[in-house]
Amino acid sequence: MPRINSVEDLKKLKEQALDKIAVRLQGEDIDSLTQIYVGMDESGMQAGAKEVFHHIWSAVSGKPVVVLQTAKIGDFKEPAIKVVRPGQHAATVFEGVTIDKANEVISEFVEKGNPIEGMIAATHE
Amino acid sequence: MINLKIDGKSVSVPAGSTVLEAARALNITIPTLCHLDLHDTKMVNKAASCRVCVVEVKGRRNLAPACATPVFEGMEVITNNIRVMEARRIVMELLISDHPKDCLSCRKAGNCELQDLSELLSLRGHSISGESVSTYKKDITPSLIRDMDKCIMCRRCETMCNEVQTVGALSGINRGFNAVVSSAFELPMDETVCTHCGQCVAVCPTGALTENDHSLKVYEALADPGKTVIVQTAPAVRVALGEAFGEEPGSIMTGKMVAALKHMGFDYVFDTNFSADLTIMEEGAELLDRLDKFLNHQDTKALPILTSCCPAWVNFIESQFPELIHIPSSAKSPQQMFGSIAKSYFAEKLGIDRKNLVVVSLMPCLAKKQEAHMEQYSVDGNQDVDLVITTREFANMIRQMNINIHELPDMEYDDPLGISTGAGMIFGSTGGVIEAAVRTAYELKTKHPLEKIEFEQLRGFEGVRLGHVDVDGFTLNIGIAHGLGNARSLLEEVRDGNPREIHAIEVMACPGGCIGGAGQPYHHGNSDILKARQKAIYEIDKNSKLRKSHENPAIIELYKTFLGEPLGERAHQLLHTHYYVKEKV
Amino acid sequence: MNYKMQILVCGGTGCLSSESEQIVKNLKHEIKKNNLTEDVRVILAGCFGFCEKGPIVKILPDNTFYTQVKPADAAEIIERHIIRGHKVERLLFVEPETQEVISDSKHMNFYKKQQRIALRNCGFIDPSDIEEYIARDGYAALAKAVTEMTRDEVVAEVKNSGLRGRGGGGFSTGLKWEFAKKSVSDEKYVICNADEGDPGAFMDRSILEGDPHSIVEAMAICGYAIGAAEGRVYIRAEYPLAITRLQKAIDDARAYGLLGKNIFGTDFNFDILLSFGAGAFVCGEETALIHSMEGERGEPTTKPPFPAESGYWGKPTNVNNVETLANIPVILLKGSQWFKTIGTEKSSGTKVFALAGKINNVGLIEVPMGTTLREVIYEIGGGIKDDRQFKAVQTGGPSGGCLTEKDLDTPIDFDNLITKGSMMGSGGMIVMDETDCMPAVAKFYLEFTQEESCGKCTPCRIGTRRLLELLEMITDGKAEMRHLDELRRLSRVICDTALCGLGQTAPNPVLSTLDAFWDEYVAHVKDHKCPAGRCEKLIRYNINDKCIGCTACARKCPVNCITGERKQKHEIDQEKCIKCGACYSACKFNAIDKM
Repeated sequence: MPRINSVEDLKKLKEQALDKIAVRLQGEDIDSLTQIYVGMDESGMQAGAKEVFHHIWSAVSGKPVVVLQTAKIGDFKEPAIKVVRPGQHAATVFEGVTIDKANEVISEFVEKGNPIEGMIAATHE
Repeated sequence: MINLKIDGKSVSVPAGSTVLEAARALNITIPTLCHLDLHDTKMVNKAASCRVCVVEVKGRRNLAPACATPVFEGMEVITNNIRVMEARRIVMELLISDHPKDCLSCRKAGNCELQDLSELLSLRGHSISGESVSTYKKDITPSLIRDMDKCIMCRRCETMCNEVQTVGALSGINRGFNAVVSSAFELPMDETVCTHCGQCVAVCPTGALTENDHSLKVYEALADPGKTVIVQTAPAVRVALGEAFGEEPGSIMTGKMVAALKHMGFDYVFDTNFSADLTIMEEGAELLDRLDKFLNHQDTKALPILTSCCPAWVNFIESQFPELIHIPSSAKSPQQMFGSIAKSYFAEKLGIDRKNLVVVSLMPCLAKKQEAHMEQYSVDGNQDVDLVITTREFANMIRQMNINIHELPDMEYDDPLGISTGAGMIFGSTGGVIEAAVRTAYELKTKHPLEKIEFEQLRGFEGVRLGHVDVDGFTLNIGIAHGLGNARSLLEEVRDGNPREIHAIEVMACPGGCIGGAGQPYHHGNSDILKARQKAIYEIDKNSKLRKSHENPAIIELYKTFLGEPLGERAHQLLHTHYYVKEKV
Repeated sequence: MNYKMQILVCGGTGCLSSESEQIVKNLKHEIKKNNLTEDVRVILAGCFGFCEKGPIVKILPDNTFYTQVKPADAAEIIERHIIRGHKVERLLFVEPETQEVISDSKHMNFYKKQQRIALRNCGFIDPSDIEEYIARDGYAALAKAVTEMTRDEVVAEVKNSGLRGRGGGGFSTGLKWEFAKKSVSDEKYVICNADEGDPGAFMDRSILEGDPHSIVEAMAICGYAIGAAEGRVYIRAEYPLAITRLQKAIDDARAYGLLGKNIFGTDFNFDILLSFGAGAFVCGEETALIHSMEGERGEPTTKPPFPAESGYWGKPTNVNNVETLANIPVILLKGSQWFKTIGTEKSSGTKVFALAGKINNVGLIEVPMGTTLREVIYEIGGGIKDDRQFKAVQTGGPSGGCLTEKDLDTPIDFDNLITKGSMMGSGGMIVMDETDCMPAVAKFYLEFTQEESCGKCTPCRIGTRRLLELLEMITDGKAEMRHLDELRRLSRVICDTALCGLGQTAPNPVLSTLDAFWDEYVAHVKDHKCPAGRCEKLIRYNINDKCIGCTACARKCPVNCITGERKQKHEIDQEKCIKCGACYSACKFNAIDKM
């Protein structure tokens, strides 16, 4: 058991403990984070959506991005993901997202705001 | 000093005073019920539970209990507007609605504070709807009767038993409507640590706690032609009896008391002061004997010696300090010594069987009723003392027999058991027993007559006192306590090493000694009455012809012709007793 | 350990008794079965508050809020939602007014107007884990207090926040702390009153079970401010889970050095011990509580002296309610000015209420002071159950009164409720419809206060019994009009003369219903009728013309008071009828009217 003997000790422990409740904090602040949904269901999982999900999850660690699973996004080539900007309703869908494509989506679209070939604007949630 | 207004009148009182005290300073009497302040004997009942004394305080949302509300600067109090009057009436009606309606046959009728308040407020008939009443099993002991249906939860008995007497036999039990003050597990008092001191009876405002009245049995004995009925009178009775007939506290009624008893039909009227002298003979000898063992034979266990004439005190040691059970004097109390001598020596003199001699004692005390009842003070099922009546019961008997006490001429006690000395007289006050013992012990030990008969250093009203007496160069340290709480502190001191080297201790369970006994006319919290009675005791002693027990000719005669030597075999058999450790709840 | 998803299961009072612990077990089992233990974690959290729809299961980070979950649903939740990303539609909440399916609770009418401050961590953290509390800024307020602020500054901050006692007294918390600080003594005590006794109240319980560290931290802050090194929690023995959680919190705090000697490296020492109640509502009164802790009979004593001057063992003592304390750490961290922006001018902050009765959304809510009763009942509460009519709302438990239709737009705060004849109390709010009988409601509360009276003072010991007897006469149809006057008179005197709050407020339900529902009382007395149809002795069963004489009722009647030939309309002898209702239940033709 770590002993807290000073304010610094407390601050350090808080930093470490944030991991335990990280996804809960994300859920609380979800409207101020970029949301990346990865479509699952049978078809998605067969196309490898689970691996994409895990990959994206690790890749955005520490960034103001929350990664969530969702049901089949729509009639898109799977694995399909959809990105929602903070405070907006409109989503941008990306289909056929491999691990490499996922990296591109993150670095180009999410972080820099640049469009990517093949992205589809969708107004549904 | 705090300045406030009560009913429009201004008054200044010290900070910390209550509204009740401030009102008193203005001669405004706010009615109270549960409140009781005997601060001279450390008894202040602060429950504030009856709510009779409520008053209106400007700026306060609800009514305030005057007995427990401290004054503040600029306070404005009204004690008698319609809001307060209605509240007081309804509180009283509530109390009465849960109270048995048998005033006509209640022991306390005429002396009941609930009844007095009901009269004060002109309560006529019951206007509070609702029928449930809380009922409990009656507890009848030889000394007191508990009829808790009449308890109003004033907590005076609890405060007295736990905080003043430190006995701990009573406490509030149950919750809500059925809350009442009772013993542990609602056991009969005989099975608890109750010492029968009866101080709870002395403070109870209603008929919940009363004495076990023996007067009917006394009438029966007096009417029985086959019985010779004799009576002994305790010293404390004669200085308090007058109060029951409108006399000033401290009036000396000895002659009239004897006359009343003779008029009632007692065959012989004797004096407990006589057996008090007898007690001194035995206890004085024992004191000297143990002092001798202590000084000359290095027997550290021989002292201190404790007086043992107060039965409540004896009960207290037996149930609360079993490890000290060897230190009280083995002498019986004057009441029991009298009974023992009466049923042997005197019965023999009269030529009658002890069963046909009825010994009645007139006492200020309730514990004496329990003491008289004990098996160890009987022979073949016949008690040494048959009946005990208290001063209050006696006063009632006088009235019932149409005797006008004021017009009685003074009469004298009978021989031989009516002859006594001033030393026997002072038994009635705290410090008196040990002073009487010292008067005799001093002369017997030093073989010199006393220069001064009074021992002022042993007198007073403080709860715990320490006096020193020089006996031939040896300083005798004497501890004196009245009230069992004070006795406890002395006993603890002795138990925990006796640092002040106390050699002798006198304890009386009641405030002021026997003069404050639970059978005396009610003092209702006025300790000036106790002080007046005490003063009278010492005055009778001062005006007595004989003032030392060993100079009592009847006592000398008794030893010569019947008893032999003090502490001798016959004396031991008749006048000494044993103590038993009691495991009580 | 970075979990990708977490499942929070409500461990509040209601959900726990609906097997939420079994749901946790089943979820864990399914997670293990599917090798997801690295990615998904299940936590039994505190009370979410939406008791009507419990057991609640919330999936993070997508905030899916599942309602009325059963242990058997665990497999589907894991299989569909966790593995395949597909929400389990049948467990989602449907807003009754709009029929809208709402997945995130912050869009629900029940939650929209709430602001959870005292309940900030309930339903969010694992209450047994001190580190989760620390992750949410736990103990940062204590650190700030003892290392950056003087004792006077702490007291001033609490005073300026306007925080008032949430146990019902509504006294300024900061002022109470100031009195205790001013008293000079080598020993002082901080006591947390966790004896929550109002029937049906579970506000404090939820805080103790869902966020026990908030109390530990708050008590330590109080100890620092007033100069006490010892804390005590007087907790009712009927809360075993709260006791376990609180004891764990204290043990952990000690092990981490947050209780004990030299807290945060300063010379401030503080520790806490638990004391247990023994089943007495009256021991929630601070002086009775203190006497109970001292081993004496739990009876209140007169004030003055106040505990701040002379309390536990005669030492200066500060007694605060659980919910009051739960607000302290937040006030110190976010500042008194922030706290004052919430609520009304004289009642700042929020209040936790246990919303119950004839309302659609029964549960635990926390709203800013100033929210109106209408908003609470109709928006948060979802309106009256079964489409019945609102009749009254009782606030303040056995010490409170009833508010009616005309009071619905009253902004809730300490003073407003008192002017309307009730009081905030500790937060009970019971909604009533036309089938509730107001004299019977008053009787119910009197039965409670009579049972719980300590018996010390005359007006409460005997007076409340007489009040109860009068109410029994009224509901039995045996009263006369003069008894109503007596009821009022006696009630006023009891309020005026009782020694403690229990007795002083016991007549409130009577007085407020007498005022607001006089006609209903008169109906009971003059007409021997109970308009709400509740008082058994006043119910009349009458056979109407629909009767075809099947004799079913006559055969069921236990006292043989129904007469009639076969195929002829039957008749009930009202004198003999014992109002058992057996005939009413037996009739298949609606031929018996209950009036």
